[in-house]
Amino acid sequence: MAGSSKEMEKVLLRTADGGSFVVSRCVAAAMVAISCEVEAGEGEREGGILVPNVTRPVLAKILRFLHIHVEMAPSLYPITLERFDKEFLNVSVDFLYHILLAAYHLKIVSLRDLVCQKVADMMKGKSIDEIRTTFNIPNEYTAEEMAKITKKYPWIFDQQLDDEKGISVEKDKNIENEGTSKGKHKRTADELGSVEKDNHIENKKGTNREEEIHVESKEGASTGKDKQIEDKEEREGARRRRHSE
Amino acid sequence: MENRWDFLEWLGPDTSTTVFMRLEDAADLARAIAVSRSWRQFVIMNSFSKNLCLKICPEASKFSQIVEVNSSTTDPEVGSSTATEWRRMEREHRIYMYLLHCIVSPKGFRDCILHCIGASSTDNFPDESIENTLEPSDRVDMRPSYWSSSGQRDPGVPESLTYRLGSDLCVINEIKIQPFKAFFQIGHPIYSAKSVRFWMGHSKLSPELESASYLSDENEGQLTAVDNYVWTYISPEFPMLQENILQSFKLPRPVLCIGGVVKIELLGRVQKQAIDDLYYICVCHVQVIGRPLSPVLAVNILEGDGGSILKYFPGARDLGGWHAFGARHGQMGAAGGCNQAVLNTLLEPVLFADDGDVSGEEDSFPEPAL
Repeated sequence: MAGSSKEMEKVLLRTADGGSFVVSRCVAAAMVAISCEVEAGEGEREGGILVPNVTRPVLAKILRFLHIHVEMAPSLYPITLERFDKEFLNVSVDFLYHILLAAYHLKIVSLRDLVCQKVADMMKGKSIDEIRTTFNIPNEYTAEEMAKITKKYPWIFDQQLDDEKGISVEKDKNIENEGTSKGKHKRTADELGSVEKDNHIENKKGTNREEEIHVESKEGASTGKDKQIEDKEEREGARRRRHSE
Repeated sequence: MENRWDFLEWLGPDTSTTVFMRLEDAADLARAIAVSRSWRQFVIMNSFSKNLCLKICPEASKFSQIVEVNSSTTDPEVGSSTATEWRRMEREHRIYMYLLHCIVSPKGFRDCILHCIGASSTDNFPDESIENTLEPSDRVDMRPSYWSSSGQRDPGVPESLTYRLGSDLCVINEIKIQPFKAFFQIGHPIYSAKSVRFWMGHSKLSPELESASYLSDENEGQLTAVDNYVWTYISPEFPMLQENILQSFKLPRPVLCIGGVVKIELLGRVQKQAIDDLYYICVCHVQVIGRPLSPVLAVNILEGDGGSILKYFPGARDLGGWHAFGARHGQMGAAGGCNQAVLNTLLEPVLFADDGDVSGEEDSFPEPAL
């Protein structure tokens, strides 16, 4: 159990790029990939344990996570841990990947799951172009190829087609809102690439995001709130709040 | 390090799989395949859409095969086995994406009951038969309209009402039941049940046996016998109120009814009839609220434990298909057994999802490099 004297003994951890950390045994053992060495007492030897596959700044970050989650957790409220996690992952995308890769190699399942969820959240509810921007992925598709792909999923990409046919089994507020939300979706010419030529697809995507957020939250009232959200960051925050419900 | 933060490149297949498996919205998966060629290949080859479908509706695991049916002539599969496998995976991905859309879409809800199959028991056949539960009102032309079970001394004896839905494949969200208040008896007793549970699946009997003209006091027992059905979903138990209102029982998640049969199990009796001191359950009206998936999706149920075949008809938006289906059931249930009003509603095309011009054309633009 954490807190017993053996658990609180200090061990030395080093990284290949010269990092050196003294931590409690229980924290070191949480990195399952080196837990055998920790149990064998190698962390108390002069050279300590060389932690593979991780640089100094990344290990520092991981040890901070483990200190909170392993040593401090029993005395913290769950909400405090949640707030810590959220703040902890508020880093650049490439640093996030370094943490995730290290968590994978060091076999820290809880951290790996947490970061995977964060990466998934970075995709949720975003349009194709927004996803490309977030992950810095250039558009490799031609307009023809994009049209071919989106054509196969008309129920997602072609909301406008439904409206033209006058379909609405139930009153769908999103169809009424389509006119107002069309102009709100901001894109640059570069981001759009070849899709820009087809204004219909562009507008449909803009409306679809609104429609999909409506589907996720399943509340007609939320569509009204969407109309008022102008700033993109506020929209992001709103989306994340809904996801965390 | 290059400026590209594509996690598929950074994290490797295992971790990338963990990331994609955490997407809960089919639309996110749909957009993912449009992001880049490598994302498209990864999402399709790892069956994430199928996984998400099974996560939401575990009964979808009953589909042992999925098939796309096109009106255009399909060329025999040519090309390398890799190319064939890719096309198969891409088709499977597309079909599961459509199924996902059907399951979660908030549009197109309606009462899906086509006709009654039978009740576990009926007190006075045909005056108090299950057919009356299709009628929303508790009286028709001054005559009371309700189903009554037979009487029992033991209040623990359950009853059931079994219905055929308008499509062999439906997504069901909610069931509504109104117990019957005997307005012609002193005290206006309400003959509800203590709780209800819902069963969904398919019948092993031939369709002709279900026509209303065939349903009678004698064969009702055979029609509703447990052995004649395979149930792929059993709901939790819901408490029922002893109130003369149309009570709504929302299922905890959307359910795929594979086979088009719904059984409402009425558990525990609460009301005795004064004249004979026996417990009865009486129901005024039933609705099964959901979305029929024909004609775009259909299912062939294989005998024994062979599972079932999910069929996808991407071009099927024609009304002809609907009318033929409705006519067949109309003939079977013509003698007042089929709810004509419901049938008319079902004959309208299900327009909640626009199928566009989605055809099963093969990809002719270059496949991503493996």
